[in-house]
Amino acid sequence: MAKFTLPINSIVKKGKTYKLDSDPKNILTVDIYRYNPDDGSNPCIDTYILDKDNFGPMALDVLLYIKNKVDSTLSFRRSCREGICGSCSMNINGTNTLACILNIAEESHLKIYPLPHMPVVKDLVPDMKNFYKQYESIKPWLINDNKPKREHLQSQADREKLDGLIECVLCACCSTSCPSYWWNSDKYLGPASLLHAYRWIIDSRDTAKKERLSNLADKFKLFRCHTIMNCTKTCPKNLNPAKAISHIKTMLASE
Amino acid sequence: MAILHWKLQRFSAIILVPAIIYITLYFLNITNLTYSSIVSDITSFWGIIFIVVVSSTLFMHSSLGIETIMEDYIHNDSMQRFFINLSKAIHVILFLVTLISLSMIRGS
Ligand code: SF4
Ligand code: SF4
Ligand code: FES
Repeated sequence: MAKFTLPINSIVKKGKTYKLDSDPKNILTVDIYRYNPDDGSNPCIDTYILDKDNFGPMALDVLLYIKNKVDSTLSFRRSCREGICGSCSMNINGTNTLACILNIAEESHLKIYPLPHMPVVKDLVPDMKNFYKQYESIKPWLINDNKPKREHLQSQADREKLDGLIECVLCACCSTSCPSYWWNSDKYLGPASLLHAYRWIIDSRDTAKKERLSNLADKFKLFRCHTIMNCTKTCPKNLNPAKAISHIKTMLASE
Repeated sequence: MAILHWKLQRFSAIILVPAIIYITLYFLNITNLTYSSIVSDITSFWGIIFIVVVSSTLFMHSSLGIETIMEDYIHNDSMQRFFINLSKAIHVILFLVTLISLSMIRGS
């Protein structure tokens, strides 16, 4: 049954306020969700009052500045700092996005939370185990028993069909913005895995289209998508998982 | 099964769009109609076909939609089955009530 009350240890309290820069000229207030499972206390929101002139223009620059200069206990994932690795996904001002490609030049207040409805490992680091297991379940690799002498060839037109799909960086912003995924993430594969499933279904070099489709013909794995489109709205790479999902549904319906 | 469910939901939605528009227009114009002309509209051959087709489609669409909502939110299997069956029974009863009402209007 859906839970309408939160467990007592998930109630978010007010945390510390850090005001580091003396007399900041270009003020940026940053509220960050903090949670440490080891200290047994509830999550809290720490507030950092900073001077924007001290760091770069992206949300990740703010986090790195806080970690390096203010509070080294802050945990978050990052790697490439250019929107390629998908590590720095989080919820900033109510939208799931990649911190490294979010320009905050116009912002004076940031509210930063981990990706919604995911178990939190620490602070802004969500547990992605289930997400990766779902991704693995769609067999995200080429299935083709014919072994060519060199590579599997593909026409330019067939390769172009994969545009808008292969750019996905598996950041999980889409899946964790999807209400259906919130309620049924144990059974519904979510938009990210389904976008990848579609990417392999339409790959001209792949020979397992039928098996891939029949693996998805399930009321929970695929049909929990109710075309709410949050996934498409939030994708920081401007991809359209909802469209990929609707293509899979149409393919199944016309089989 | 999941695919059939999805197809039926889409198919019934497509049928309901023009039907709802027609019903809305009919109701907007209802003050210009007399009681007996409404009764004869309802009990005419096409009136009966329209009501039977639209109400069965509507109740099926609604039942499928409520089933989806129950599957979304009720995670306990036996409770989920109970509420889905209850909803289906209510929808069948509503359809029967529609048919009985129609025959009563016809007989009156
Ligand atoms: S589709 Fe977009 S939001 Fe979803 S995982 Fe891929 S890049 Fe991230
Ligand atoms: S379109 Fe489907 S996958 Fe995307 S947010 Fe809506 S329900 Fe979720
Ligand atoms: S750090 Fe790699 S996507 Fe943001």
